Amino acid sequence: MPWGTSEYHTHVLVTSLYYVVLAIGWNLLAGYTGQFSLAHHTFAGVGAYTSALLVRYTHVPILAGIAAGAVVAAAMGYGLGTLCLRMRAIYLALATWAFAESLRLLITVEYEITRGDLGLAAPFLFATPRPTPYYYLFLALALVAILVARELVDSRIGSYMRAIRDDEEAASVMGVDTFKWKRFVFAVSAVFAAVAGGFQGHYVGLLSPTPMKFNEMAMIVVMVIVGGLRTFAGPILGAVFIEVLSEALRAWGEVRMVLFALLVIVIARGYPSGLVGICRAAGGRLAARVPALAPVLRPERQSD
Amino acid sequence: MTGDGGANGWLLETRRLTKRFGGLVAVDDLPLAVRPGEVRGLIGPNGSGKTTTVNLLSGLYRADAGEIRLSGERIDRLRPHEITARGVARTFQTPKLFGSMSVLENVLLPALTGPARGAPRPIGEVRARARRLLELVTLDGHRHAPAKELSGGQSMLLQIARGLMVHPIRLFLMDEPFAGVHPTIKDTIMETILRMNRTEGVTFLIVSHEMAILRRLCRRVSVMHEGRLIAEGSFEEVANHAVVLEAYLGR
Repeated sequence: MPWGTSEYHTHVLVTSLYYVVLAIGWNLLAGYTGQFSLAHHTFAGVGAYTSALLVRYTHVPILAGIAAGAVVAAAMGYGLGTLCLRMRAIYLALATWAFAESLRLLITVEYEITRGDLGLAAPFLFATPRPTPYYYLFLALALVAILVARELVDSRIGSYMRAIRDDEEAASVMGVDTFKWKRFVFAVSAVFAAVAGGFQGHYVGLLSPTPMKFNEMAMIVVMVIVGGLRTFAGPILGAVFIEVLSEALRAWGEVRMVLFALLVIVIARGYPSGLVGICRAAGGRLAARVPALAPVLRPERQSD
Repeated sequence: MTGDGGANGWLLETRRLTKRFGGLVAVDDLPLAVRPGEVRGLIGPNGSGKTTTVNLLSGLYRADAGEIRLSGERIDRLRPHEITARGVARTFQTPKLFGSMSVLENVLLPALTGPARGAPRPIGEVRARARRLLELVTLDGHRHAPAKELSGGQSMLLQIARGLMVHPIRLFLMDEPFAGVHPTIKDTIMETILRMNRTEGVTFLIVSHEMAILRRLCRRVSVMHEGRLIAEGSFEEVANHAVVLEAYLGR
């Protein structure tokens, strides 16, 4: 076990890291580009089901299945992005939500292929359900996601994304091909979700349409907003914080969702940059008291 | 003549340009022709279709009929970024900035969206031009401030500097650049227009109600009323035009 933790705690860590990848992907789309999609969780399902079905029916290696899931998700993300090109805010949210629900229902009723609510068995990637090897896998996956997102956000494409979010018309008349880059980010964020979903499926070993319900999307939104929408570290902090909190309060059952909702309201009202903003403010206060720490606590960075 | 014009010497030319919104004909059969290097005023009472015209020229609206040519090339079916790549910039009456970015990042954005053709411009050159333009519009001291913290007048100045970063800048469309800004800023805007026109040959089409300013900037003005071009010429010609007086004063 990593850090001498129990198997249960390791499982919580694996799940946290899974959500880190999902949250980073959604933040690229919703936080940086301003496209408030409510279909992000669906692409995790697309990745998981594509891989499990391919492995089951065509016996391809698991990694090939996951790669195929990423390709399918990229294509569907691109398609969904195309559908939403001229939609703003609430219309985009509604359209993506409708897409997500349609796909979930399709997977539920196509019992012959997907086994619907009975669940679809997905072989374990490491031939074991024990979480330790998956912990290292997801740790690597989260690091790759962080690096890729960092590269993207710091590139000229990152500037296009922020320009589109801040003012799409201004972006277009300043030379940004808004259609091209919105579709691109839809596809990229879908790949983030599909890869995470694919590996998660081959860790859990049984897929069902349940994680494609809206609750799952709500969790991703909560994680990113609590961590700090539009900040780079926000989704990382938020995913780990909410997942761990959610496990710590497991006994509360569904009441947790109410707690998270309240948390979102408090954050949205008082700390729009979420945990990241709170940490920054605390760092600033500390730097004011201990000037020697200032360079460490206030790095000059124009990232978000 | 800078050799930037089309077959008949126009940089910008519209023929029978028409835009309808439901039953309303916002731009009606508009013929507009601007020579390279001109500073042209576009005036008319409220609701006469001036902003709609600018939106058509910059590609934000698609014309229902007619054509728009830039140096003879049809641009009326192009998307906004494709028109920008051909050297057309614009400002909005209500400034549209990238609020979360710094002033400098706003100005640098058009340079990032190139290169339409050829090799990317050297970054040192781009940054030097950005700084020069920010100095010209008196915003260099604010270059690290978030754009959303600028005042209305400063936002207009930033829109202008940002537009001038479009490369190569040939035609600059300005929608009410003087509306609601402080007199000092009006002077800065005027100086910027004259300077860029003189030194780089940038052509301007300026929508405005500020007759005194337009009189100093433009040799010719075009007058729109109810979507149509009702007069065109020097200030004196236009001011004494019976149709213009009727349109403005309702006589």
